[in-house]
Amino acid sequence: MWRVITASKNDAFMNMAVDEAICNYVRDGGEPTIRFYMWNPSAVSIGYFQSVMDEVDVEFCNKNGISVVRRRTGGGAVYHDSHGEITYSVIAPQDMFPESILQSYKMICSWIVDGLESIGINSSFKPINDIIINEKKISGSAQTRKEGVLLQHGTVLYSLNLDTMFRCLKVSDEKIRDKMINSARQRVTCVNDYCDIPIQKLHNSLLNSFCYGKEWRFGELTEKELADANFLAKNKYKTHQWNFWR
Amino acid sequence: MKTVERKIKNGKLVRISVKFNGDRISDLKITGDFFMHPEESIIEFEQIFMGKKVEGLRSKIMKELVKRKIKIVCIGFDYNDVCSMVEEAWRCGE
Repeated sequence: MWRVITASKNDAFMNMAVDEAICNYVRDGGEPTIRFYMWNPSAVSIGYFQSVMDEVDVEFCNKNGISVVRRRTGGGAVYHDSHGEITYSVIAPQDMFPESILQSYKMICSWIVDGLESIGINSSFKPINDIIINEKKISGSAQTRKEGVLLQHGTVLYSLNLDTMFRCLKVSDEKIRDKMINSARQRVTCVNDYCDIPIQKLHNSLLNSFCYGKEWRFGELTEKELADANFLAKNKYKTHQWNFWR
Repeated sequence: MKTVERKIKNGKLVRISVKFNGDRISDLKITGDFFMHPEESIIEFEQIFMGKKVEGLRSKIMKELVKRKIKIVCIGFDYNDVCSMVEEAWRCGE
């Protein structure tokens, strides 16, 4: 039986900490879990192998209350607008998914494709880890596998705030930034570009497609998960040592 | 440190910062939006390059990976790309 935790808003550190706490819960025999969440305040997450100083305008983020956090998954820097996206995580025993990492990306991403299709948006999976519409990216995901547990998390873009997105990213020259925004507009898209629906409807569509064919129940974090998450947020994800290790 | 950045074809962006001592690699940091499983093996992966001569680097790295029986899954790049970038940094001069 899958446990489904529906959209909650947390800060960046708690969001990453909750994902890790759920991994520990699943490792210790807890139910596989699907979680939908949002970010408040808006934040930038960077991939495990990225350098904060190379990727993020930390000064701009600090001045504007935008958190910066390193993920435990690889992949690129993502701007998580507090109103502009839905993030998901799928956390389950590794053996519930194909051994091939790329095949497991494909499997989980197909749930997103199905969710978008149910609101009238035709998208497709583009290996390695993207979902695209006419070559424009609408969703990106990242995966890690540790201690027999698979964690895949990713975002589905609901609306775009490209100006803030590219101010958060480290671009020294305004001209380059303008070019990047124009170029990004041709490479990135969002649900709002195709249909005018409330974000709750997108959430419900994803919930239905992720749960399709599964035995599942709505659930919440256990007290232990919450305690683990609070500990990890404070002692790992908020620390300079973690966020600036590369 | 010399930095070389490359978007790997059908892969990810990889950036290396490398330092040489004579014709040997004395420091290497690999960053980017790639994936590596398990993630923590990036440290050992970088370590393999330390002290190696640039000449014949690829075969030395491959031998070392086999010798150490390291099971690393790289997605979006591979060790050949890193070797090629190190060679580029070497050609450009530190």
